[in-house]
Amino acid sequence: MLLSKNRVIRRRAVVGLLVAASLTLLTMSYREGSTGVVGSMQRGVVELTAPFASVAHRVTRPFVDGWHWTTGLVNARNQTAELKTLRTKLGLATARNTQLAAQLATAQALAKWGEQNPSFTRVSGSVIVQYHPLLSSTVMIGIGSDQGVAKNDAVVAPSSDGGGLVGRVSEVTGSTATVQLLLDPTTGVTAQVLGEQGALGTIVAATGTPGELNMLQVPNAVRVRKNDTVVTTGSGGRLNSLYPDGLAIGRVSQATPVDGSPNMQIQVTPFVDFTNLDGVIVLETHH
Amino acid sequence: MAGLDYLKALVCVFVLVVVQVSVTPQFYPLGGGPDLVAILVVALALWRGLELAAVAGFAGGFLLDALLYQHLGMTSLAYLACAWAVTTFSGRGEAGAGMLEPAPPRPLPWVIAGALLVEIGLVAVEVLLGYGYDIGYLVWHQIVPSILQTTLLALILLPLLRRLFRPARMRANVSTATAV
Repeated sequence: MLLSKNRVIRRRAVVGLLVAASLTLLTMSYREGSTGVVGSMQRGVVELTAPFASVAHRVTRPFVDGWHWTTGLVNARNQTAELKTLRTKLGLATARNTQLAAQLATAQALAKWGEQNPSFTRVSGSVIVQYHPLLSSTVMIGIGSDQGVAKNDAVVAPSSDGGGLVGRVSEVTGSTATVQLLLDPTTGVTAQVLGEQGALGTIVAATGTPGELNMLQVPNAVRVRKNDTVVTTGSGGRLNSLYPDGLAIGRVSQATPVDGSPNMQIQVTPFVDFTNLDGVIVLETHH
Repeated sequence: MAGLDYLKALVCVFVLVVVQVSVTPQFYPLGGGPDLVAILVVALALWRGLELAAVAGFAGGFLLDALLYQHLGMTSLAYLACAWAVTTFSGRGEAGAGMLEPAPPRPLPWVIAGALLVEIGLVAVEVLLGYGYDIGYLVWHQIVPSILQTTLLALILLPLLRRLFRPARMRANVSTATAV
């Protein structure tokens, strides 16, 4: 019983001594920081253990490398999956960005055309249905009579050259309108070559060259040169034209006299790219 | 026999501290790190009693604080508390005269509890000393990973320590007490 008590006392004394030592060390450590006795104790311990730590580090290095290689492999697999997802997202974002940039460019071109031609009352819209223009000579636009569009209104589209005539409205509903393009072989527009006296004629779709226009009934005597600009005249003999005058149509790409014929053969490249119509402007000319 | 135990315990402390500060940080998969000294302290508390566990805990804490340039005595206090709590609550503390000490319990749950106590104790001491910590970060990036890794390593380390400090179901020194 006595020895057991001694054992208990010794145990408590040892623990109490260790607690007191810990608190003393803590207090000294706070007071002295890394200087004095505490600092030299720490440096001594580091010097004592450094060689062992170095050896342990070196011995375990291959295992550590193996571990890192394994975990790196797992991480690489996860990262590959993440990268695939990110690439898909990036592709979608890029496509959306491109679409928005195209819409912005169209809107800017429409606004610019409006600023350059302030005399027209106009309404802007987008092409919502377009077949291949060489197979179908009409497009549908997303504005109709509710927005002020009327049958036979002239339709223009902005382009890098400032914009050009697209055609005219052939059918109209409340919210849509069908536009008959200049490429329609059944339509014609009275036009003139800018700067050339008497260079009047009719623009029709070129039969042998898809996407191009021909200018008919221009006498051989008139001087027409390549790159001359062709615009609407606004009149068609006895009758007024459906189109207002001065709307750009295209540029002369070829002008050659024809033997045995009183008229020249003139080919006109339209300013408008009919294969890529997007934003259009309807000129409210028939109200 | 007791002297040999002290020698073995101090060698173990030294080896485990070196491994803890130089090897295990390279394997941290989740943050935190395993507490090998806590495993030793709990094992000694269960198999050899408070005295040896307290000495080992104090030495281990001192070495860790010194090597990591922390305030000396802080980790020692945490390990001392761990040793005291494990011996007290596992019933391995102070057997009375003539009483048989109970068989040591399974060590793994006590290792988990002891390591948790050390982690919480260290955080508590640091908070008391004025360090500001985000509790959520401490729990999920320090305490939980540390406990998990300590538990996993205890599965390997405990059998080795058991060979060194084979638990003996010792009878208290009744004959001597009676003689006296």
